[in-house]
Amino acid sequence: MSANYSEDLAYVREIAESGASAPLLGGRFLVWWGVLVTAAYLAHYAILQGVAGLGGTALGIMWTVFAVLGVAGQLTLTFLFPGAKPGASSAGNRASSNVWMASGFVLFSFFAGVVIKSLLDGAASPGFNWSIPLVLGVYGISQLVSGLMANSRGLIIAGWGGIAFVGITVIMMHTPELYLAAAAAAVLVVLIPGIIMLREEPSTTV
Amino acid sequence: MSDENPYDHSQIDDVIHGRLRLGVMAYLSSVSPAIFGELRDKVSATDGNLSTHLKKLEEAGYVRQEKRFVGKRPQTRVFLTDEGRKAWLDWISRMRAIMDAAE
Repeated sequence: MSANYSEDLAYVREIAESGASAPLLGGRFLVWWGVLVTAAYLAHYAILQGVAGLGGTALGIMWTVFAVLGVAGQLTLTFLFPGAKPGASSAGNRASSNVWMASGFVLFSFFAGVVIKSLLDGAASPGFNWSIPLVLGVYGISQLVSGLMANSRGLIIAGWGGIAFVGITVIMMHTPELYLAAAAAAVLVVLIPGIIMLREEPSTTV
Repeated sequence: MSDENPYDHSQIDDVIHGRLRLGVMAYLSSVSPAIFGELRDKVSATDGNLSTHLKKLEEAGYVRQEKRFVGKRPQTRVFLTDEGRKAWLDWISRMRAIMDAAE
């Protein structure tokens, strides 16, 4: 009798663990924002360096285009997201989608404040530069929580990487190279993990 | 539980204690709601077999099925109820007591 129960317990353990470690399904969103944020930080650096003779106005235009593209892409990906991927309701996927949703609102609130402050003052707020450690910190927390909940070592490393870049970018504050560091961080913390997640995502829908 | 007989078969929840239903409860304990096809693939059952067992679990109040459309395709989602989670945890405790007593 005990042997049968042992087999039953081994079976249910295997099934339960397979659900607990279901692959995360948000890779496409990370790839989209990873590409966009990296490109925007590089463009920001290039404009600061005077490439193509672009001035400060170009920064405003570039970030406006970034915001429009980002939101449009997010909405499109959300609309096209398959409604029947295995493991979509796993603890890891639920934690990840919720922590990223909260992160998105934190960033929206921050940038709305910075834009309004800039309009009131008639000059770009230093908050734009300070947004970089905030963004990377939020990315780091989101990746770390997702990684811990889904038992994903890659995401845990990415999360700690994002948190480490908070301090690095604070040290580099108000230098043009701040944006190069931010671009590198976006690749390491968001884009590469996103590509890995996409590759591990189950291709089938059920 | 110490004054109970760990080998008392009547204490084992028959609704759960079948290999396929164990698999369903185990998976739903970590992924709820699960899509019907996801559950079917996970426990290696046929559609008909899984439906039969889900019906028994639903009648016991352990799972809840919800039908909806994703685009034009119908989809059934299976939820573990609070009662089902309690029954699942009780089953695990019962098994642990039997295993402990057998050692």
